[in-house]
Amino acid sequence: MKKFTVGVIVFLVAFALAWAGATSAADFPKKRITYNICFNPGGESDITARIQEKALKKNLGVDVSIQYKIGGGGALCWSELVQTAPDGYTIAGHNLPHIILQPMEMGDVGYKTQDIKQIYIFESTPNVLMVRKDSPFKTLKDFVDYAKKNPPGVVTVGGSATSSANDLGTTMLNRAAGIKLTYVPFSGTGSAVPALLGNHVTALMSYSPMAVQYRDKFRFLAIASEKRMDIIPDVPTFRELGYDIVEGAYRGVAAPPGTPDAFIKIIADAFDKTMRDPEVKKKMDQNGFKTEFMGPEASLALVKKKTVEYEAIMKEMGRVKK
Amino acid sequence: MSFSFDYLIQGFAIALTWQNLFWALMGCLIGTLVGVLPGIGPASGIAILLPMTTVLPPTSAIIMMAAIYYGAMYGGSTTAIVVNIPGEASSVPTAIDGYEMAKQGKAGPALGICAISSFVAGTLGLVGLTFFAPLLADVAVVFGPPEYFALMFMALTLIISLSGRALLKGVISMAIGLMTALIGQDPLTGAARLTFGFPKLLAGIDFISVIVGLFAISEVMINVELKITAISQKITNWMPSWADIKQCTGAMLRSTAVGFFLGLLPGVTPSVTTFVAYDLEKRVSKHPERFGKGAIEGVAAPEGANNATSSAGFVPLFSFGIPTAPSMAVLLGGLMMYGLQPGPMLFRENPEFVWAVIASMYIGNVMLIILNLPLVGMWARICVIPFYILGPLIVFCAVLGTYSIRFLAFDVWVMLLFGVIGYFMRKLGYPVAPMVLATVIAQMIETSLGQTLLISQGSLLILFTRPISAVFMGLAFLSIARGIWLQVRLKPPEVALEEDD
Amino acid sequence: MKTLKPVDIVAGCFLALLGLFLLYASSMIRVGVERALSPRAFPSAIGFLILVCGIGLAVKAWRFRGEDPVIHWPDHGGLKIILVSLILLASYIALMKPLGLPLSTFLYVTCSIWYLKPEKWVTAIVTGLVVGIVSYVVFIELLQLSFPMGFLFEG
Repeated sequence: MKKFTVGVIVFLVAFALAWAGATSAADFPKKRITYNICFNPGGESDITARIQEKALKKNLGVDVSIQYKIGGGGALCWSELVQTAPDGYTIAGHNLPHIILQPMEMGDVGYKTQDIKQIYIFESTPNVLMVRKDSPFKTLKDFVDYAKKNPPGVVTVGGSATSSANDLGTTMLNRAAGIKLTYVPFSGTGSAVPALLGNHVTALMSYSPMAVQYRDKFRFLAIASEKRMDIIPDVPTFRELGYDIVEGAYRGVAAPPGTPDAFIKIIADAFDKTMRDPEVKKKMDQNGFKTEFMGPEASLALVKKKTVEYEAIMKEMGRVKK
Repeated sequence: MSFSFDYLIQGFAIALTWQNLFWALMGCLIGTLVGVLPGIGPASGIAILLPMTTVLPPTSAIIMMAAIYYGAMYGGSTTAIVVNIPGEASSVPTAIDGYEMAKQGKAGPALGICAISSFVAGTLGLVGLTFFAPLLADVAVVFGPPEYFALMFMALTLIISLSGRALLKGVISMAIGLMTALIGQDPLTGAARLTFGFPKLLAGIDFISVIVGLFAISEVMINVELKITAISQKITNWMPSWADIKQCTGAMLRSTAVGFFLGLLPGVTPSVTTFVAYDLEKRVSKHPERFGKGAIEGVAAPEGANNATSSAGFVPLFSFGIPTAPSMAVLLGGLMMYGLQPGPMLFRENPEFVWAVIASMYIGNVMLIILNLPLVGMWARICVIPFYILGPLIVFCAVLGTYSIRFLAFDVWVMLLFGVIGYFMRKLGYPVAPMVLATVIAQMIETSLGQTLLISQGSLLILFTRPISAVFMGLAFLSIARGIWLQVRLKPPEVALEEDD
Repeated sequence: MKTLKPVDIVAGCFLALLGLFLLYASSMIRVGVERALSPRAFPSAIGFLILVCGIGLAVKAWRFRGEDPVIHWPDHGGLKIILVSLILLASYIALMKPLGLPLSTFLYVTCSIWYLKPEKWVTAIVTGLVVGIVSYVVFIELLQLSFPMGFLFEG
């Protein structure tokens, strides 16, 4: 009898306990959204997220919790993303060219480019080649000449992650100038910058926001964009100096595959409003970011276009087997 | 960033209003509660609570966030001592001696010395920060990949002293820890390693699940097997005595120095410095055999290093605008929400915020000690709760905390697995600490070695030609040599007796 | 195996095999662009280390001629408690997704306490209730962390 009573109590209590709020699909979002950042704190992805945070919360109507998932040059974060439940409550920052190049070059990195469901692309940052202010290289020509005169690989260039825009930019420079620079990958811009500050690498191939932040500590040899950027007007473009290199990182957010399109649209709209917010726009410009406004379809189109482009370059440079 | 008394006084004036004091208090309370859960560390804690701070005026918000940060650091040590669940990797050395003390009924003194040591180290660290930040900033960048590797390598050789007489088993423990950390993606290239085609393994094994399994779960298993009625039968002391405190002065000062200087380096987190400080204490002690059995210095040292490192972490932040750990970045993010841009410009253009933050950190330290010393009694009582209730509760906390790292059931299974592994390790005399240290620093060691080889064009000689890394490598080899010499001389059976050296 | 010596020999052999296995697994790692430190380097080095240590351990134990420490394995009763506890824990983890956090927590805590001390079944149920409710209120509602709610509520 005792056992039976206990059993009944347990059953009733269990049922009562299990009575709790339900998550209905119609009123999304209903609770906090997790925004995963795939790179070190202090890097571009982090800074952008912090700029967006306030306006994003307003436009989504719920809290946004910024988390870090650092490792494998972003691969850890994205491979986790494709395994996360597609309930719309987890999104992650993504980078081009990383998400295209990583699976292309490395094969099985835990995700495929097409699995990353595009929500929005909100910025781009061209590559900038920089050295310390006290370095002997005053122009890009000095730098290239030095690399040519010395044994191949002696000149080290730091950057964020492997198979990233920094990596690609360095490879492109090698190709265009006929030199062999050694690219040293760091887990993010946040850890690459101290390496240059401490003179452990000769130069950095990093992104435009760093050029703005470290104006008084570094000298910028060239920027890989079509035109000079207003915020740093005296940095010449690679094109001006005779090297046809236009490359940088595009950053956006993505969701796990299978996330309902309705949720994607809600989040994309929130990001769009956020990027048009005057305060956000101002901070983006001040920090050296170029704002983009690409919704889900536009982003997907860009990814497809770049995939074709990169495949060609990579095959030509022998980094991918034909 | 230069020092100015005016600014500092101004900062204190702002920080000492009733309003701000209240928010500091709230922050400490919440931070401590959050820190108690394994898996939720200061970074997640602040991130979760950040929304609540936005309704406050900027200065109060900063103060509250700093308080949450310090509070969370403290919370992790509490559970490490009382129930052998380190809240974070940095609490692991504290658990080694702290839990032993708890079993002897001395949880009170352990918790008390924790608070005191944290306070001393935190305050001294802040003083260092206040007066020497500009000088120290340059120290931070002197460390490049070769120096990092040498430092981490030296840290690994510390396992030799942590293993006592069981050197070989210590090395095995470390090797298995390294192996576990390798599973997943290569940190530099993203190549899949040891995953055998299981996509789940690509994310790797999170070291918190390993730590919680090795400590909490295996401990529960042992207690359950021995039919223990409670962790400690009776509380013998409630507070550290003056003699205790005096005994620990050396430990507190040494660990502050170690924690502070190592903490200046971006990427060197409290998890590493606490082990170094613990080892240092053991080496300079006249009775090293007491460590591992409830030596109070074994609690004072890691706690001091913990807080000193936290203070030191602000130096790269203030001087270069680079946050050295996720928790710092969240703090910075909070500042950004109030319209401040990150970067070296930040603190040159907004010095009043810098000093308000520093002032609030002093206050946070004081808050914590005022708050926590009285609470020591409450926490210590947990040890006396009958185990048939406490055990399942401990497991509940462990499961919850582990799950909340990445919200993957996989992590909890890993915790269970390592609980079983930890059980066998204890029965068969394998030291646990080396495995923990190895899991924590494995990624950094490999990454810095890779970068070093790229810079040196493939030559390992660079580690010995650069002065700083040469020093660390030298210390490492000395440590190895000593360990081997002791083994050859003593010829002991392969059992880890933590007290022998 | 009641003493340390035979266990160490067996453990040593097992570890040696593990080392070999690790070396084999390392050779399967895909190497992309040629770099100074191959992704295979570390795993191979550790595999080698484990192999050597395993052999060393086995040999050392084999040759040892001193007093052989006794291992304190659990007795029959102790073993039973451990196994049941582990099964309860495994069930808790397995049931967390389908049943949701609060419910599975309630069941786990209640059953565990009840098992450890059958006469205190009231305490068991009450504690289980409290913990279950706390887990819901604090973690799901208050902190809004995404813990599973169970099949009854997730569509």
